[in-house]
Amino acid sequence: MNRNAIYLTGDAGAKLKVARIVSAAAALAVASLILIGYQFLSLRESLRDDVEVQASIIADNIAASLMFSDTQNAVDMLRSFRNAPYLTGVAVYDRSGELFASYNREDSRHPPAQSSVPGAPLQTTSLEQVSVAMPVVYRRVMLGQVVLTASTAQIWTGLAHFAALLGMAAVTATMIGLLLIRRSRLRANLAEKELHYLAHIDPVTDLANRRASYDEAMRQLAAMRICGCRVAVMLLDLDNFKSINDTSGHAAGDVLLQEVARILLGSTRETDIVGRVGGDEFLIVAAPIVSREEATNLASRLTQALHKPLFIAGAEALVSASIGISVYPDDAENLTDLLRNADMALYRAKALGKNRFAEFHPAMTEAAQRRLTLENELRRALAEGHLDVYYQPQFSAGSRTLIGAEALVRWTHREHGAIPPSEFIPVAEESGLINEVGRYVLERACAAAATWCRSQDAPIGVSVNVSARQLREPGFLEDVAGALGRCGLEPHLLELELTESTLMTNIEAAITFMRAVRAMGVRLSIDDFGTGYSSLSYLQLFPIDQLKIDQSFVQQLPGGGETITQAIISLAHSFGLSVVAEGVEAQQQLDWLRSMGCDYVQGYLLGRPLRHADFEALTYEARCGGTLDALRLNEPQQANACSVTTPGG
Amino acid sequence: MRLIARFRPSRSLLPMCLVLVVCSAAAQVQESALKAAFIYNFAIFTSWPDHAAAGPFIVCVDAGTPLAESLRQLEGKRVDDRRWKVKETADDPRKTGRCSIAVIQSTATQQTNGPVATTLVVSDGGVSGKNGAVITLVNEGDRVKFDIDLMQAERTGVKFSAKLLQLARNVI
Repeated sequence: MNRNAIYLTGDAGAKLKVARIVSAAAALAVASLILIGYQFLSLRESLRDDVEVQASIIADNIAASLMFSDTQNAVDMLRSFRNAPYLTGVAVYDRSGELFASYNREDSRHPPAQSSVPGAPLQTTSLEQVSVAMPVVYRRVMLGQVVLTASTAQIWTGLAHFAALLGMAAVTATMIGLLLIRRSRLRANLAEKELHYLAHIDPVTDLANRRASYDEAMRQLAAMRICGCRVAVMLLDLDNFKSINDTSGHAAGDVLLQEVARILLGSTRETDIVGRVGGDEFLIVAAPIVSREEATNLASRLTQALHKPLFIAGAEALVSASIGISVYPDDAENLTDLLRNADMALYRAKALGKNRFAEFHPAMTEAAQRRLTLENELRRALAEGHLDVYYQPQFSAGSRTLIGAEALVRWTHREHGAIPPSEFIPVAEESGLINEVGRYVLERACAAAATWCRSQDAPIGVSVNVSARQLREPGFLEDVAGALGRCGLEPHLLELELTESTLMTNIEAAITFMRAVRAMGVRLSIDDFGTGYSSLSYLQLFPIDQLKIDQSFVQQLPGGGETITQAIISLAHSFGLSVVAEGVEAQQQLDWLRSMGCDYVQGYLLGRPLRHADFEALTYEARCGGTLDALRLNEPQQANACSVTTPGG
Repeated sequence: MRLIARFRPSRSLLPMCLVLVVCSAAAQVQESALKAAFIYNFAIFTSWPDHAAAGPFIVCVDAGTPLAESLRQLEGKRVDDRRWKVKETADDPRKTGRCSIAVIQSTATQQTNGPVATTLVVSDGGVSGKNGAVITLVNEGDRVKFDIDLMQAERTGVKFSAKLLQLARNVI
């Protein structure tokens, strides 16, 4: 399965092994030689001792024969030493140095020569023989000399056996040693492989991990650079991995990843690199390729192969993937740039609606550059207070009385003028700036709402949009409570608008959050209802107050969208929820909604988003029977100052 | 011949012996010298009872015989620190008192009342066991051999080294 593993091999290992064996054998040989030498010396020593004892015995027993000149007796006695196999000759000399008697083995003709120092015992030793001369003394009278020679042949035979035994022992020891070395080597190899596996392989999919993938890609790229071939670098991202992981658990997520890995390996060539470089991100390096078309064909094949229902943890999951492609050498020269380009293409593919692939185009760099610039400028705008909050009025559908407003963020760029939210909100979402933007809008909206003139019976509330990212922010709940407290706004006048997709990404956390917010008294509304998952069972679960019909449905009215709009209205009412329709632009739409029992309406027909001051004036006209301008003479505008509770009504 | 030379007090006698070898009289001298050496060697390999092992080592022999002469030539040697002394008698050597060794001729008559205690009787010739001697010197060809009568030895109280017994022609 794993095509990217690298194992250590080589000539050096074998050479090392031979050197080890040779050195071990040399050491054993030296040790054996020392042992044999020592053995020879000690055996010769004991032979000499034996011969010396024999010589003493002969010297003792030959005395009488010498004295009585009884050669026959002497020869008889000497002959008895034929049983000592190592003796090669015995000779007895009388006091004058004449040979008195001798005994020789068949193989040595000459009797041992007399010692030059007849009076004292003397040993001479050589490699071949040991010779001992012993004086014959009886009652302190020197009678002659006995000379014995012994052959070391037997010792040599013994040593030959000993050497053979040593050799066998050495060979056996070497074999055992080799076996042990081999075994420990195997164990080390195994450990090496395991370490390699841990360092380079993703344990879930058995694919190369991020580091190994990049290393391999680098190698592949270097090889292709030499042959001048084209290489396709693709980044593949699963579109809905997170939701599967969240809804079915991590084990199911792992199975999904394994399944995807299997499909990717099955759809690519043996030489292509497939690695897992992120949670749900895979790297595919196809090399060599003939043309860009081959790369797009492969990408198309991969998206098709992945876009199918998989059975994971007993349930069917619909997987899809987006792919970004960049090609060497057309799009970039080095891996870093190729990866960055592929990432931009992937971003593009996601933006185009997922389950598709996109090739890198130089314009993407510009787009990415623009995004980055936008992000920096948004940051600055936020810091310098260039973001503004507008309020679009909401009315009761029946009586057309003002009941509240939706807070909408606006950005007027110093140079480029107004930048639409559809452009900068995604950038804020991606960069995490959305948290600050959200906090800013919430703060401003609460402060503004606190200044609005309202009567006791029909309060004017404000609704603020909340993004998924804000929900995940741990301090968001405190932000809400803080904003309310600082501005002295009653909680029921604040409504938080959440989109369905925001809630579905992490249902449990969403419910916990919603309960907490509701406990504070803040109202909750589901934005863009009907465009997302619209799970009815969750509708029952979510502690909400209101549904908002998406403007895409409203704008079809009349003559289209009636069924779904009517269904949403009656659904909301049966759950005890109020309904607000946004994007009302025509009188017929308003009439139809009113006839269907829609509670509240919002749209250009009734009122465009207004600056705070204008909206505040509107509230005075609508509710307080006067004009704001009259009041302004006495009180300064305090929309941004949360230290003031309410200007009165 | 060589043995004789070995036991002579001085090597200066050797050339004289060689001269004597050529004549028949000299042959006689050579034989008696050899026998004297044997007798001396017997003394070396024999031990006497403690009470008889003191004073000079007296060898009693018939006066005037070549053997007596040869034995006398050995005077000055020692047997276990006892000086070698030859005592020539006209009488039966066995009857001479305090002899460690008594040398008798083959013609000597059998002694009726047994040998004198502590005296090693050596007979020059004769038949061992019948001549009443403990050791009998025998001529065998041109060699000199000896027999030992252990029964007689038992009576006299002398003891022989096993080495001597080993060299004896007969031990009875």
